[in-house]
Amino acid sequence: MDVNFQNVSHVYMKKTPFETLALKNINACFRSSSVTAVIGRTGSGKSTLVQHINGLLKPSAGVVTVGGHRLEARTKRKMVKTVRSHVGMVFQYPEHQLFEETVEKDLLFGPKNKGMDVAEIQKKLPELLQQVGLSETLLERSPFELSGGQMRRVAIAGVLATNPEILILDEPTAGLDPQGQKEILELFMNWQRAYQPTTIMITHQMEEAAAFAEYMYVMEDAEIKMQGEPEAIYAQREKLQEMDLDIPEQVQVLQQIERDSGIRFPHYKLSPAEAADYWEHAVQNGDVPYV
Amino acid sequence: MFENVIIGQYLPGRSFLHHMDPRAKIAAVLFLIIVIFLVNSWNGYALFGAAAIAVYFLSGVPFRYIRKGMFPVFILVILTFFLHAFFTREGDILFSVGVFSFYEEGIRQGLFISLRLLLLVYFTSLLTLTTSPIDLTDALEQMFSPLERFKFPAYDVAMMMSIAIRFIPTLLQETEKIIKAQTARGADFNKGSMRDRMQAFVSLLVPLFVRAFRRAEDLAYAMEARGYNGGEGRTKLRLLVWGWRDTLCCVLIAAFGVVLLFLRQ
Repeated sequence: MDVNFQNVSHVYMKKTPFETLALKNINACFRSSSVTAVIGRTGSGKSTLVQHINGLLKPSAGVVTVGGHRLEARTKRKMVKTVRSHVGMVFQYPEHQLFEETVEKDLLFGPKNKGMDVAEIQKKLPELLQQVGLSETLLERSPFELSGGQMRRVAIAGVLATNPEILILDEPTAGLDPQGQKEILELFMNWQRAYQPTTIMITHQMEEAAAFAEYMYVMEDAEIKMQGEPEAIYAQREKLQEMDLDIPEQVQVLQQIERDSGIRFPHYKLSPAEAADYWEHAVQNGDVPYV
Repeated sequence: MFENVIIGQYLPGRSFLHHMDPRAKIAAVLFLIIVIFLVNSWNGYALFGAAAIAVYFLSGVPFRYIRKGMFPVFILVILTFFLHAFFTREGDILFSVGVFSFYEEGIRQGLFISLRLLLLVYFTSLLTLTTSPIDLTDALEQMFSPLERFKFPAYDVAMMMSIAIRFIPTLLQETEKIIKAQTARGADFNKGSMRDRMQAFVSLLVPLFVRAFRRAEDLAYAMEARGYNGGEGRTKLRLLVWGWRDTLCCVLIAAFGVVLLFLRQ
């Protein structure tokens, strides 16, 4: 499903002294089955942006198109619900949304609400738990007995259970250690490869975006300030630094090597070993001088 | 989502009322609440109305804001008016609609009570709108401290109040976040069968309580870790300062009360 933003603005707490413009004339496009990252520091409007995709917020002006459906300021709730059934959203600290007596019941909460075939999904739950890195023996346990990391995985599985066509990730790795971040990110990458949902990931860490996204939007002060493929974004180092965003260390190292040796890497997602191999080949072929 | 609740909300500003000592403001509001029940003449209410308008200009709070905040109270006011209009049967009959007759005294009582309610809510809302919660609890603590002689734990009560007030916005935020998360999972809080809505409500309340208890525990540990052991001997970072505005206000309010006494019938 494609998602399109046309001249979308959003005002919080209209007509009070606390009125703030959270989105300013946004135009953006998220292609079907693609992975897009939305980057920006806290308060730049990232979360506000993605909450328009499942109608949690309605635009104050402009149109959001999801699949064939138009979401506008006056859109009726029934229509919003239809759109919402196609969208899965993983919030920051998703484990806070667990509430059922057993893990199984909590996983079925979304499918039940969205009117899906619950019996069918129930059969697939063991597989789903495995996909998020948990044992199927947890199904009968209370979600509140689990460890923090397990709770987060259960909450994520609860969103994936509806197999959404659009998957929105709002800083799903917040508060995890680097190892945990990597694991959760890999989980989403595998899921994306297997089911091909249109994926939109919010983050303020360039590393995460770099590992995952094909396209990037950089937000600042309620506006989209930069957009393009990750490579093109990394090239504008100074502009990024103005927005307190750091180029991932790995990319920085590769860029430095490019500047020093004159080599051109095909892309910056190369692992250190791959980069070394590529460089060695280039030297052997005589493309770049030995340094 | 909670944009329309203004009771208990603070609106930062630099008006005359904002600069007053919270103790003076609390005393004034308490005094006004008492005297409003003594007023029983149209002249008295006219004077009270004039005072309300004067205070409005001193507060610097936008009118829109007050109107929006008073709206829920209006429903209560209209209800009480009709209760009195229907059930008081004194004085002359003014007019009849079907089996119902409206008496002069009933209408009068209804109007008086409605005005009282409105003014009451108006003045207390202005108090919280122009006084930060911290100032409010500091003032209450000081005003209650004489009672400590009778074993009244003024400090602890004030601490409890400030913690409670401090966490209202946090809890509201949390509520909104969980509502959003469950809505994204297809829960519907406004529509659907009773059963579905109950289920949606449970999906909000359980996480909210779990988080609240967790938070309370964390806070207790954090306070203990920093050596908190009650109010004895603690000094304050922020001192309340009594200024000319406050004395002036108290004098004016007292005079106001005396004039109102003369206007009684």
